[in-house]
Amino acid sequence: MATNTGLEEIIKNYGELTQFIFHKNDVLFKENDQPAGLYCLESGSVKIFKEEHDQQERILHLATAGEILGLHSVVNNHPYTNSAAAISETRASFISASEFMKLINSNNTYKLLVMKSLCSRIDSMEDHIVRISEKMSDERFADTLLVLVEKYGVNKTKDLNIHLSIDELASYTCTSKSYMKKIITEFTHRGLITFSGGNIKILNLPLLKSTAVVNVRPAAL
Amino acid sequence: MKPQFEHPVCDECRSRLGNVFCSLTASQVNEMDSEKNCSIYKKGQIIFNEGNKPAGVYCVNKGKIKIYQTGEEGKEQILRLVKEGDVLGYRSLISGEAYSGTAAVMEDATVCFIPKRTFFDFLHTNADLSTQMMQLLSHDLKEAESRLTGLAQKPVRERMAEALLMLLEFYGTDKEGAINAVISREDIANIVGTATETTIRILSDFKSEKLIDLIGKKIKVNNHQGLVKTAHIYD
Repeated sequence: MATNTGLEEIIKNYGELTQFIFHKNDVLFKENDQPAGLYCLESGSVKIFKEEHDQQERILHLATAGEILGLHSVVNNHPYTNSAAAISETRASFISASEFMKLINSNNTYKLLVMKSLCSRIDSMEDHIVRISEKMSDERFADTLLVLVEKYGVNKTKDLNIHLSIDELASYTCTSKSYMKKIITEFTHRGLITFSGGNIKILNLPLLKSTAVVNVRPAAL
Repeated sequence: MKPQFEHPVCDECRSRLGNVFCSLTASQVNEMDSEKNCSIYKKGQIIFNEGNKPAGVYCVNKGKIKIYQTGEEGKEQILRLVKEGDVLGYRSLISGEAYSGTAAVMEDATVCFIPKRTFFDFLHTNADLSTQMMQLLSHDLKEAESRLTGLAQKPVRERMAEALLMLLEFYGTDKEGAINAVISREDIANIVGTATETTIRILSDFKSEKLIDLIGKKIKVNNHQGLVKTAHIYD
């Protein structure tokens, strides 16, 4: 979740920024590259992912306006630990690593804002860890949808304000593509959602919420 | 006569020199020494509970501690292991939120508590300390990311191998070459994110494959290469 720590405003007021517009699938930075700097997202959506040895991508986080990307790599001056690519048209401001470090070293209070920003990212990562380890795929998918609703919102016709492919949904939910298709079919049958060409319509939010809760399963099945 | 518990002295504490507080000035060390409170915790005791509000940070002088979240079904998921020299509880303090996990003692521990006010005073006045805290959090985020990737993608056997390698690296070995920590099978299960029965089964599989040896409650890694291979770690 984007927590506004005030760091973004300080970066923006500093100047020394370059504005970028990214189109769908454009890469902001790549895992293992030297950290050139960080991005403040102004609009749009970006997926943060790791490439696995079977060439599959594992989506760790979906970022939205107000979030800062690349922060921990710049702070520790180690290569980017993940890649970032736009899922929809995205506007972002870029500040170079050296300018950013100059900025935060000028004031100890700024460092505290960096820490807060990092804390909120770790929290959401740990929530995700707990979710994967205890929930079944269908519960996790319901969870994924709730996260997306909260993050990106739905429009008047109940469509999610973000488009994701089956691959991306499977990756973020931590399940396989074929199983993802099965769950989507099941959710459609139950009247929870409809899915077509990356567009997700949320039909029954209360039922989705109860599906996301760990269900006690009958022992013999 | 009642035996007296001697409080560790910050100035002489070797644990402190390995953590973020090594950057404190001499007068700050003295201040920390006079403001802190140290306690002995027995195995199983709770240092702080998920959902409580933090009042300061903890600096571990001795012992082993686990931090876990309790899931909706009441199962523990261990998120982090803590040993002597580590600081804990800083994240909630900095973000100003309630503890996101519970800290419980795995091996008897001596832990010092540093009040919030003192900690923030140091953070505001000591640029080295705030830089180190920033780096520590960046490191934590990196760790959480790789935990997540491992958990999401790897089958339980690979995750078990990876967890054993992590424990070996984290705790080192004792005289007999075993991992220098007594960790219950249940705790191992909660680190890996699987059932206790599965853990017991995989450990005995690893034993019959001569990857590890089970010495009482301790685990000895016999075939490091083999375990790395099982864990599918390529880098």
